[in-house]
Order: sequence, then structure tokens, then C-alpha cells
Amino acid sequence: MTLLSLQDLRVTIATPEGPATLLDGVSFDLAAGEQLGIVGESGCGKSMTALAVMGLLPAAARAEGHVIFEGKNLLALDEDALCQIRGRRIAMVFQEPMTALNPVKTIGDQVAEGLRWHMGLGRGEAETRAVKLLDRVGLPQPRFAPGLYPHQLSGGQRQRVVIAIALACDPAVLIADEPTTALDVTSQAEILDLLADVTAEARMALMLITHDLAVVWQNTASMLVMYAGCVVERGTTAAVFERMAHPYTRGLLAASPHALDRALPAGRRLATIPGRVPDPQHRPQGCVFAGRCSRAAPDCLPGPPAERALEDGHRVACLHPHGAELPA
Amino acid sequence: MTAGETGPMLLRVEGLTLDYPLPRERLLAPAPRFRALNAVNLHLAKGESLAVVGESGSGKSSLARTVLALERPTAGRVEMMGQDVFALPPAGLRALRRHAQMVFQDPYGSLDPRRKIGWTIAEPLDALESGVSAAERKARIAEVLDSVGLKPRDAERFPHEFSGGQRQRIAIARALITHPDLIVADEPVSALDVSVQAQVLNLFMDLRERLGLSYLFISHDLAVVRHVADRVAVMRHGEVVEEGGVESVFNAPRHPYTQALLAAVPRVGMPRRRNAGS
Amino acid sequence: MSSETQTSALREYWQRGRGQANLMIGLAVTLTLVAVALVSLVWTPYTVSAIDIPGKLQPPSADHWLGTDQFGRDVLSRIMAGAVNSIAVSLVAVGIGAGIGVPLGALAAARRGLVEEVVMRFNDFTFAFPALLSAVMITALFGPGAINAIIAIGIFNIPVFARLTRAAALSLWKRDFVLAARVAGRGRTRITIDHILPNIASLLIVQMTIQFALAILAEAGLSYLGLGTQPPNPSWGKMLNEAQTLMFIAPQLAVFPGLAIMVTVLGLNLLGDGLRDLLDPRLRRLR
Repeated sequence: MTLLSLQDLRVTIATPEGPATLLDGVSFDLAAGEQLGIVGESGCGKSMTALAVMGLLPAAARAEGHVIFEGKNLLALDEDALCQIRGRRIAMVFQEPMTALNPVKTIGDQVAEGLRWHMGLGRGEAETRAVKLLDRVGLPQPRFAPGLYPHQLSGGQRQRVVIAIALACDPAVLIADEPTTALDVTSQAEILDLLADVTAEARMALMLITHDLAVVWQNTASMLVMYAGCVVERGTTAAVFERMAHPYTRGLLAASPHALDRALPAGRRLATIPGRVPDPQHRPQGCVFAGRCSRAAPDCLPGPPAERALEDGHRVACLHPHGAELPA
Repeated sequence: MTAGETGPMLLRVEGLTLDYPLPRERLLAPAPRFRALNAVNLHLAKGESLAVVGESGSGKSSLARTVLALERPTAGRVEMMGQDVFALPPAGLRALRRHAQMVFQDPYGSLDPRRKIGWTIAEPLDALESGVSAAERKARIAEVLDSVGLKPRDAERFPHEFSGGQRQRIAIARALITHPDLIVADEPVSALDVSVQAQVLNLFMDLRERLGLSYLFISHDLAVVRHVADRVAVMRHGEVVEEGGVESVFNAPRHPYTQALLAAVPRVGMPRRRNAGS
Repeated sequence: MSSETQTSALREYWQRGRGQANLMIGLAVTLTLVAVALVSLVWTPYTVSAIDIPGKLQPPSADHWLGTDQFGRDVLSRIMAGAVNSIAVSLVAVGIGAGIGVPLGALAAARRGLVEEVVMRFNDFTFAFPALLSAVMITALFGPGAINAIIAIGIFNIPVFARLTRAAALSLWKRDFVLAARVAGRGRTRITIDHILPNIASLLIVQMTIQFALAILAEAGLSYLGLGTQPPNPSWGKMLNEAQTLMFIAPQLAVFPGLAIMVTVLGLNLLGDGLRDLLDPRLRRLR
């Protein structure tokens, strides 16, 4: 059952140097209980996609297309209607737990806030639920009393509070935007486990946004690879990693120092992707990756490549993908 | 290259301890202290590279700053090229600074936004070497810009005109201009995108091969340092818990903390979590 | 810095500044004020202190656009000449404040420790007295007069600039590019000159326009109390003072200098707001 559906989402923003295209026709469906990974580098549009779903695009941005959630187009809703959905039906976990929390309010109050606002609970009831939620995210009583302030917690513990806030109203979709990037490696694994557990428990859909392919590999069932505002490859996580059809996906994995299981021999270097991401003001007419692609051919330049189906629902927006030859 | 004691010693850190005062809790009681470094011992031979790995709060950045005499330790010695850094008069310390430069984590914060790249790159030269003619200065700027893959005319541009990866190259160029023996790099690639990270790491490897540099390479990520260091020291709570050749620490970590650190890094190909794919 | 990039930076500021109403109105008012003051140095409709008792307390007319005061002096001429006074007083007062306050604040931020404590406690001490009251005290001690008024107002600008400079400099001292300069072997003074001050210059310029407006008000206040500019020299505050007793006979005598003060202060505040927007680096180019 499709819960959230993005259809040809385009986001442009006016800059002094002309309009910049931040998202260029992004489409995907998210089903209840699905764990979808969105992977890409900075500027690829992965965070912009999350903001568009939350209705939190910058004021200067213009969005076209459809973001359908529970039968309503979120792009057409007014702020009041969005407030009913935001935090209650679609919740978000941010990258930086310290700035996502209010430093002068106790963690108990911050978790209870959504319950009182969205669910209309009384003070006492909201507090009881907040304590339960803190317990659920691994902050048990009495060590983690609801009267604590964010600065009294470690980074990983703060991110648990942020997750408790997101879970408070039992949302249908949880968006986690680089939830572990600001954390130490050892807390990262725990937070990812926690996200997987709580979403599976409630059949919540999880949208996990990250720059780290390994995080996607370990934590999601399906994935999108984004580059310069476009989805370039998608499918089940297993299928995408099996074939790595798009040259960008391959380049990203090869460039990661984690990809090698031993040190480079003397004189050898890490694989890199030459060049840089095109400016959102000056996007190429054809394939957005062609300028950096070793497989680019003249037919990549006239227009953007259409997405084509590979096996098992695996799709790639590339005319010359890696792997087995395309079926005729 | 695990021996380390073979070449002449470039850097020797002995019993280095650093306390930071915390805010007073009571007016008349002495201020409590936080021990950022606790009796750290390290050594680095000329041409050798040492990685210091640890999580936030492990003291690795404090170590980098103390080695460069930006912080004064509570106890212990830092010896660079046989000289006790904290016993030197200011002039002697300045003379030593030519041999040790630094690259920072945040490529957006480490360049003065109001200065042109050429000015920024030449700052160590202007401060530490006297009698450099204008022509030589210009040639040195062009030389280091070329070393890091930028063009001499980039010296006339401002930081905001460059991408994150290019800015980090500029920061490296600044560190190279006095022809140092040691570069202390504090998380130099962790703020960069994966594909750019690889480019900058490759640059570190190139420069080391070409110029015979030594690195004190600070990182939270063991996989990153694997390719640029000979030895690795793992730090936790201000102490070195394990030290050894980079491959032996990777393949046979002895300390439980190192084992936990290695196990926590997500890797493609490792077993996937129970929920995924169900 | 080559002159070429400087002119292109100026051109960029002009391009962006042109569209800002605050900035343009503020700039227009300020420039008008300066122009009026300059003109009054060489020409005023009537001699500023020429007394003409038969022609006293005239309402505005074609001869005297803003009327005459109780001694028959031309109000327009006195307001024009008073502008010189206001500008001179605030310029010197803000100069004293910034000239002493900025180095003190920069020193406190660079040295920390005992130096910082001493500087900041000195500031608190100055701040602890209400500004106008202390100005009254100073002029009472050293006698009324324009010079003493300037000094009194100037002293009260010192802590404003010292605090602002210290706070802004402290956050800069934590930045990596300052650390990089220390690794490069730069001393604290040199870092302050090369890196700290250029990066807080825009902040200081904005504060100066605001202090400038406050100084004009303070001078008017002191002169109104009879502690500032002494007769027969014209001053807006003094004019208000003299008009007070004639409020019901010739209200225009209070209205015009009052308007002059109001428009000037408003203009300077608009200019400050506009400059703040213009110089904010976050608003400079999107990249």
C-alpha cells in the first residue's frame, strides 16, 4: 500500500545568478513499513526532497509536481493543514541533535510537547507517555529523568531524545536526515539499530537519508541514488548493490575508503570521480553525470536519459549502465 | 615501516598531560579540572606517518594543538627535532614552526573570508621567514598551488569562490609553503564528500611520496587513516589505549575498545541488519 | 588588495544597496544633513547671531522660512549652523568611543585572563552610571561647554564599543583561520590587525551610525539642560530649551529644531539598519 508518493517533483530557487534547479523530476513511492534509503553527496537534493515532503522548503523555492500523502497533495495544502500532518503523521529526525533540541527546556517537556499539541493530552498524561517514550528509545528511568536538560546528555543520547519526539504521535512516516553523521561511530550503530527497531515495530515507513552507502546497505530494503537533483538509480538495496548499474553509484562506492578491506599497496591511490557536481544554475542539457563519467558517449549529451528497467524492479537513468547487457 | 625508531626522531611526546579548568562550582573551592590528555607518549621518525584515532572527547584534537604549542600542557614534554618546544624562547619557537604546519577540519572556517588565497597561503612565509623577495614569494605561492593541483592565478581569488575540496587544497598549500617536515592534520577529510575525500587523501599520499613529509594524522575514522599512516595510536579518554603498525591494529586489534571501534564501522558486504529486506 | 577588486566590490555593494529603501532613505537624509552643515559654513540666509528685536517671534514667511526667535534671529539659519555643531560633537564623541573602546575590546579578547577582567570591570563601572547623569556630573565638574559635552558623551561610547568588539572578537578567536595564523607564527597583535578587525569592521560601522544618532540626542539633551553648547552658538538642544518658555506664544520655535533632531536620528538609524543588511556576509552572494 503506497503511503507517500512523489510524482515528478521539481524544485527551483531564484538566485542572483538566475534560477537554480535543486530537484529535477524526482518520483518515488513509499509503502507502509518500507525502509527506503536515499543516498548521495551534498547538493544532490536528498535533504531538499525531505524538506519538500515536510512542507519546509525555503521561502524563495518553488515546487512543482505532486507530493501525495494519504490521498492529499501536500504541495497544495496551506500552512495550517501542513501543521496537522507535520510532526503528527510525518516526523523527522535531524542531523545535529544539539540544534534540534531546545537547550532551555527539559527533555521530558520536549517529548511531551507534541503529545499535548497534536494529541490534546493533559499535562500529567503527556508526561507519563513521555517517560514511556524515553524508555522506549533506550533512556530508562531513573537515570534519564524527564527533568534533564539536553546539555546533560551525550550526542547519542540527545539523538535518542530527538527520536522519542519524532515517535511521540505515532507517525506513519519517519524521515531521518543523516541521523548519525554528527555522532561517533560507536553511537552510530546503536542509533541505526534503534531506528530500524522502532519503525519495524509500528510498521512505520522509514526514509533514511545518508551520504554513506554502507549505512544504506545495512539498514534499508530499497534505495535511491541521487545526483544533482535527479534519481539516477533505484531498486531493492540487494539488487542495486549486486549490479551497481549507474557509473556514479560505482564511483561513489569505489571512492569510499571503507570499500577496501586492506591498505593500498605503495604507490596506489584511491579511486576518484573526476570533476565536480554541476552548478544548479548551469545544469547540462543531457545526462547530469556525463561530464564526469568514463562511459559517457555522444548520445548522453542531447537530453536527459530516461529511466530504464533492469531485472527485479531495479531501474537506472543511464544509457550505458554497467553490468549485463540490457534486454532488447 | 612499523619500526619507527630507525630514522632520526622528528617528534617525541613524553608524559603529555593537559588539564582544562572547568567553571567553579563554589566560590572559594579551587575550580574543577577536566583532564584532556593523560600521560601521552608518542614518537614519530622523520618521513614516518602516525595516525591518532579516537571518538569525540578522546583528546585527539587537544594532542594536535599541544604538539604545535597552541596549548600549554600541565605536565610532560614535546620535543621537536630534539628541542623541547615549551622550553624555547619565542624566537626559537618561531624558527621551529617552519618545520611543523597544520591542516584543519573545516575548509570553510580555516580560511579568512576577507583575504585573497595568495595572502592566506603566504601567511606562514611572511611570519616565519625573513628576507623573502617579492618575486620569490610569488614563485613559492605558485609552487605550492601547483603542488595541490590549483593554478597560480587562483592566488588572486577569494575563498568563497572555491568548493569545499578546493578550499582544503588551499589549506594544504598554506601548510606546505615553509617546506615543513611535519604536517599535523586534524580530521582533514571528514567534512568533505566521499568522492572529494578520496581526492584529498590521494593528495596527502602524493605529497608524502614527493616531499618526504611526516604526518600526524588525526581522525575518528580508522578506514581513512589506513591509507596514509604507517602506525596508528588509538585514543580514549585522553589516553593511548593501543598503538601499533596500521595493518596489525586493523587485522588483529588487541584492545577491546579498538575492537569495538572497528566493529562499529558499517561496511558494504557485512551482514545486514535483521529488519532490512524483510 | 588591488584597487581593481576594491572597486568591483564597491560596485557590487552599490548594485545591491540601490534596492534597499532603508539604506537609500537613510543615506539621503544623512547626506542632506552633511550638505546643509557644509553650506552653513559659507552661507546662511541671515547672519546666525544677528539680533533683530523689532522682528522677533515672526511666524514662517517668505523672508524667514522658519520664522524668527525671541531675539529676532532667523531660525533656519540657526538650524543650519546647529547641524555643524551636532555633527562635530557626535563625530568626535563617537571617535573617542570607538578609538578607545575598540582597542580595549580587542585587547581584552586577545589577552584574556587578568587584562580582560580589568578592562571589562572598567567598562561595567562606566556603564553602571546612567549616561546622561554622568555627563551632567562631568560638565558640572569641569564646567559647561561644547568640549566637555563631547568628552562626556565620548566616554559613554567607550564601553559600548569595547563590549561589542570583545564579544565579536572572542568568537573570531575560536575560528580555525585564526588558529591557522597562530600556527603560522603570528603574534596576537598582528592577528588582531590582520584577521580580527577586518572581520568585525562591518559590525563596527553599523554600531557607529547608531551611536552617532545617540550622540546627537545626547548633545541636544545636554545643551537643553544648559550644559552643552553655550550661547550665542547655535545648537538644536539649546534652541529647544529657549523655545520651551515660549511654547504657547510661538510653538514653531520648538517644532523646527525638534523636527531636525527627529529626522536626523531617524535617518541615521535607517542608515545603520541598511548597512547592517548590506554588509551582512550571509547575504552576500548565495555561494
